[in-house]
Amino acid sequence: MKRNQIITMIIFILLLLFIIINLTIGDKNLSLSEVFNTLIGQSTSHQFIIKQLRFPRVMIGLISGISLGIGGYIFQKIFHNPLASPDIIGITSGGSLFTVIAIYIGLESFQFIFSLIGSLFVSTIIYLLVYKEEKMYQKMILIGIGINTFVHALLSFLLLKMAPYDMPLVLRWLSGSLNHALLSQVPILLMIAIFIIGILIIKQKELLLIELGDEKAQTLGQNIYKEKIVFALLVVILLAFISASIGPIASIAFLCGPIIQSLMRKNGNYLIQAGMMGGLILLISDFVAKNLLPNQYPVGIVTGLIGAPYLLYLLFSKRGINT
Amino acid sequence: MLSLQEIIRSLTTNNFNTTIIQIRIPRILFAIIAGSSLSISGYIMQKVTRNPISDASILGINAGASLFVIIGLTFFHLSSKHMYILFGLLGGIFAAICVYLFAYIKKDYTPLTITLAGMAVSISFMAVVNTLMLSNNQVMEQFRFWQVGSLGGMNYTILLLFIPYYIIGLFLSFSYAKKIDMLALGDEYANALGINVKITKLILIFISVLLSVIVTALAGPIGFMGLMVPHIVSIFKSQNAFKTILLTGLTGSILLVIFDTLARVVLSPQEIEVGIFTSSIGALIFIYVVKKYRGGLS
Repeated sequence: MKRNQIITMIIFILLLLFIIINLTIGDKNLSLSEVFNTLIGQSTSHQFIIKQLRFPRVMIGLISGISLGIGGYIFQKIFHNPLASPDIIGITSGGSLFTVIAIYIGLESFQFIFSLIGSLFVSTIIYLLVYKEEKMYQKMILIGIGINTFVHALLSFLLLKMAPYDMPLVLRWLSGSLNHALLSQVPILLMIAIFIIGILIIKQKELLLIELGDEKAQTLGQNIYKEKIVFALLVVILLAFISASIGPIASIAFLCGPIIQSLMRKNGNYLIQAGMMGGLILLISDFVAKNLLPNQYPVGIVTGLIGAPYLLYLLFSKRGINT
Repeated sequence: MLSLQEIIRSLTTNNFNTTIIQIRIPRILFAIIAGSSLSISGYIMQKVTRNPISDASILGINAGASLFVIIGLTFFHLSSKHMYILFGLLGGIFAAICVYLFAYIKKDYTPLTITLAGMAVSISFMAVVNTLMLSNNQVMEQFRFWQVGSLGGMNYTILLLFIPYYIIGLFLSFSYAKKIDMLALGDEYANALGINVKITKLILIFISVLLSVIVTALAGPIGFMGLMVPHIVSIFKSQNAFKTILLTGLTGSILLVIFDTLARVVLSPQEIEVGIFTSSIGALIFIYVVKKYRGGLS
């Protein structure tokens, strides 16, 4: 087997392993057969723990991780920079802002729609500001960071106006948490994720073309901007749904691409691997957050802590951030 | 709302309005010196890094200060404001070293690289800040007001604490004005004129960090003042650093007083924290500057 295939296999096996670990280990350790029997419908003594708590948590974690990994990977590819991930350029926080507004005015049940509107709103603004500018992609990152700051200022304002007893909840949501994963969220998230990721996988060959750079792809007769917009739009919609349900989970979108790229030997298209890596990182982080840290930290804190040194490493490494 | 007459009367006599005035005066005074402090800091930073897109919040210095202050709150139970300043200063210097080190390793001092480095340092530090903040509800409560930047709690004690550092910072900036002019000619010219470029730059960065971190430590991060004001002052096309520092300081004072007043009255009786106000306006200006920026972006 080739190196790339072996690595893919290892990631896949680790992913399965952590699905099993997260289902079986917790405050109460259960056996694998017990979990399996419960999930296929037999009634056992730990039905509630497994069906209502652990299964949705693992499922939502898995779906979110995969989506974030794929989304970040695509953004980094189409905008030619590892910093161009939706969480760094403010798209995710646009969604968060609108979601918090939804909570603030008491429309919690419309979180999805609000998050979607917010993310699309920010993406449109970034697009309008940088389209066909000179040094478009570099400027996009800086402008995105500016928008991120702006949105965060508005967010802090809302947070300060909030009743103190709402605060911890909202703050925890804002850090990204699986603590409130609900079984009822699983089907809709699963459907959306399968649908959008399906389209992305079908279209993934075009990513290779995009990677060549704008000018080369243009000469091959492709309308590169249109393709990029379609890709970006799909990712924005996907991640808006994810972040509405579990909050803006830090770093995963931005981490997966570079990790996969450094593991794989050749340049190529590693969309699926990036997705699996996203799922893996999220499940591991959730395991750490749930079992190894005191007072039930939100998983976003753990991913943020993983992301921080990696971001610095990326800065200081030789290959690093290609400006 | 008080009339001017009432204000003058209450300064000389003693009535209910006196209390209101006594709360407002230190606040305005603080806004005046904080505004100039932050703006001059930004001006120096932009000159040293030759980067129009920089100030203490962009280069991660505020994040560094936040990080060290929250470490202090969580592990060393900071109580005195002096310790806030000390920790903030250490954090700011630490962040500046990180950014500088990055540019040094890359041998790349272009605006985009330095700005991205600052942002990355900022994001990483804030991740740790968030972790520590959530660990403890009491720290969270203390910190969330500090973190947005507010002049609401100003009093004469804090003001008096601030002034010595401010004077040192101001004195240093004015006395280094000539060297800023020389550096503007380019490193080689400056060398030929007999100044040690590296050491001068380090000292200037230290002055800039000092000026912004004292404000951050006492009032929380009041973002983007340092970015905005030098750009506004550049309208005057002053070539002389001494004059520019003076203009920058004055403009910064006026602007922060205006912002703080607006923040206080726009949604009255609610109050917007001035840090939120400046960083929302500043972020828009930041976007504008980036968009307009031509030339050696990478």
